[in-house]
Amino acid sequence: MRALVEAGIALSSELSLDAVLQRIVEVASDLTGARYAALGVIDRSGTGLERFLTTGVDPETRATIGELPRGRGILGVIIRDAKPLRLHDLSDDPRAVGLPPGHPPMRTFLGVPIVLRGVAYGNLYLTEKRGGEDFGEEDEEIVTMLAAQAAVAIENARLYESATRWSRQLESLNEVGNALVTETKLERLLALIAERLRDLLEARVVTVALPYGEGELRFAAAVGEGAEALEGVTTTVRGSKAGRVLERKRSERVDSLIDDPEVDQEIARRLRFRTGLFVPLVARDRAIGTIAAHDKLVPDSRFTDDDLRLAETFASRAAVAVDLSQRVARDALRRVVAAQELERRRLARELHDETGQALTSVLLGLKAVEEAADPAEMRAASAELRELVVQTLRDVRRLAVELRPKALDDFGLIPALERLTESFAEQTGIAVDFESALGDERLPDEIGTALYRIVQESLTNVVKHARATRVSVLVTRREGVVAAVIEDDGTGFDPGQTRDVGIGLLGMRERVALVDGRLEVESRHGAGTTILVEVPLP
Amino acid sequence: MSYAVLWSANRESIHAGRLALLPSSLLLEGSTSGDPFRYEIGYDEIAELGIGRAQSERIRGRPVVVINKVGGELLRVATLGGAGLLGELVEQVDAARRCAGSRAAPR
Repeated sequence: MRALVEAGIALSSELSLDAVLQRIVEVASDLTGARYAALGVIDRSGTGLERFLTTGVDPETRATIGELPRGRGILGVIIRDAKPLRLHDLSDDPRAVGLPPGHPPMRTFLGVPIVLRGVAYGNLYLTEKRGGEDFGEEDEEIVTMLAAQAAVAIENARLYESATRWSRQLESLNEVGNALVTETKLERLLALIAERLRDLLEARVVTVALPYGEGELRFAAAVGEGAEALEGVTTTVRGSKAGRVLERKRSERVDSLIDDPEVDQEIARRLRFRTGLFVPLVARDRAIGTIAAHDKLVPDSRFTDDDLRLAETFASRAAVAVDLSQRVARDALRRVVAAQELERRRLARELHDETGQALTSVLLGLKAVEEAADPAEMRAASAELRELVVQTLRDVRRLAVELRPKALDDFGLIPALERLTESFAEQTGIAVDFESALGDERLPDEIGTALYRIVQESLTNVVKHARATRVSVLVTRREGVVAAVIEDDGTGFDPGQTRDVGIGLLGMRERVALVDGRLEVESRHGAGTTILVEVPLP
Repeated sequence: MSYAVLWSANRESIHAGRLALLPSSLLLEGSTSGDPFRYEIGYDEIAELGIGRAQSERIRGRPVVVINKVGGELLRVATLGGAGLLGELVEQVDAARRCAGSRAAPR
């Protein structure tokens, strides 16, 4: 009894499950006088052992024996019957299947199941009681008590494992949730979701495929071993499992991809996928993509029902991300189309009201010249007509520059900005300091246009809101980035507070985003405003 | 709705700033050489509204909206920052006047 109590106290001081179970095996051997003792813990699938601890068998002999017991024979009886078993001679029992080659001979036997609340976790068994005696009732009671302790330890370890797994899942879901709010690039968000899911599933590869054109899917994210080979690759909806799952809007587990005729075997072969888990992304009852996981990195590469449920949770997050991204893109497109139509409407009005009127006046002027009574009248009418044509020409040129300055196409951003800032200063009386460190460098058209429009819009905002006396515009380049800084000495504002300014800034931010740049606004009441735009160069 | 504008009253000095269409009035605000200004005209003070293209009417070469106030004051406004804004401004002011007039009309 004393030895058992001491053993119990010693067990409670151990931290790891393996250490606890090893101690139990050794205590069992010590207290019963068994030469050999072993404890096997069945894995969660119930098909094999996840742990096997022994005492009495040296490492060389263990290596010679080779594979672990599989729960057949007497060991299986203990688990099935859930009762202790004592034998005088193992080999005499008809249920025994014999010992593997190299195994030390074993006759006397005591085996006890490790059971807790009806769940069988494994068994604890001892052989070859010293002195050649049989194991007795007292031995059985001791080992039964130790087996109970082992059961508690195993259950606690599994509960802790579950809790840790849940905690990791919650952390990952939390991270994905935060990213949904903060991350604007869909591909980065999908890559994060795929990476977190891959980690939790212990999968070799996870992919996210989205519809692409007519009847095709494109891999928008692929993480894991060799997955970079899939990025941007397309497959057909009808010719792939991901596509069929998308159509059916129903998750599927495939335990053997090679045997499933719906699988795109070319892609499966390319990355040597063996198993798969396919989950549709569904938003507002529309299937908008598929997330797939391949090959669990454990001896059995097949996915479980728990894996499927976890993947479905992540798929719902991915569906929100994709749906939101598509809606934002549609909204942005609507705004672009609306802005284009507004500009066209204004242009049409200008051409009709201004240019059309002016040309009508020219016609009337020509008529006046034709009908002039005398040369003096004709000269006067011609002079007036010339003045009208000159003014009309100026107006048309001003219109053309306002639509798109020729200098931007002919000479590039810097000359175009020089003219813009000169004209601005002349028209408004607000002094402008323009500086550029780009030299003669020509920027790509898209970037030059975006920067021109942003400076133009910024100057318009200065007139409307800043009450500034001075503006500086600086264009520089450093480390593969071109930057423009527009700074005024005006009244400043709370960024985003005034709706009018907000709209102007929104347009600027969208322009900058189209060229993968960033825009920052610094402003305070009474302290002027600084707008910084940075655009990466290809 | 607001516009970046240049404006002048009674052919005096030219100012740069913002024109905003308020429910009952048209507001011009900004600064000239650092001095702030604010000029508000009720829609019911507008006697006549049109576009001035003659050289003598333009502000720094730009055609203007000409607003004749009741009482004779003349206000000229040129738009900055985009094509076709002048015609749009006239339409907007006209629409705002009509809207203000219908709100003010006795029932």
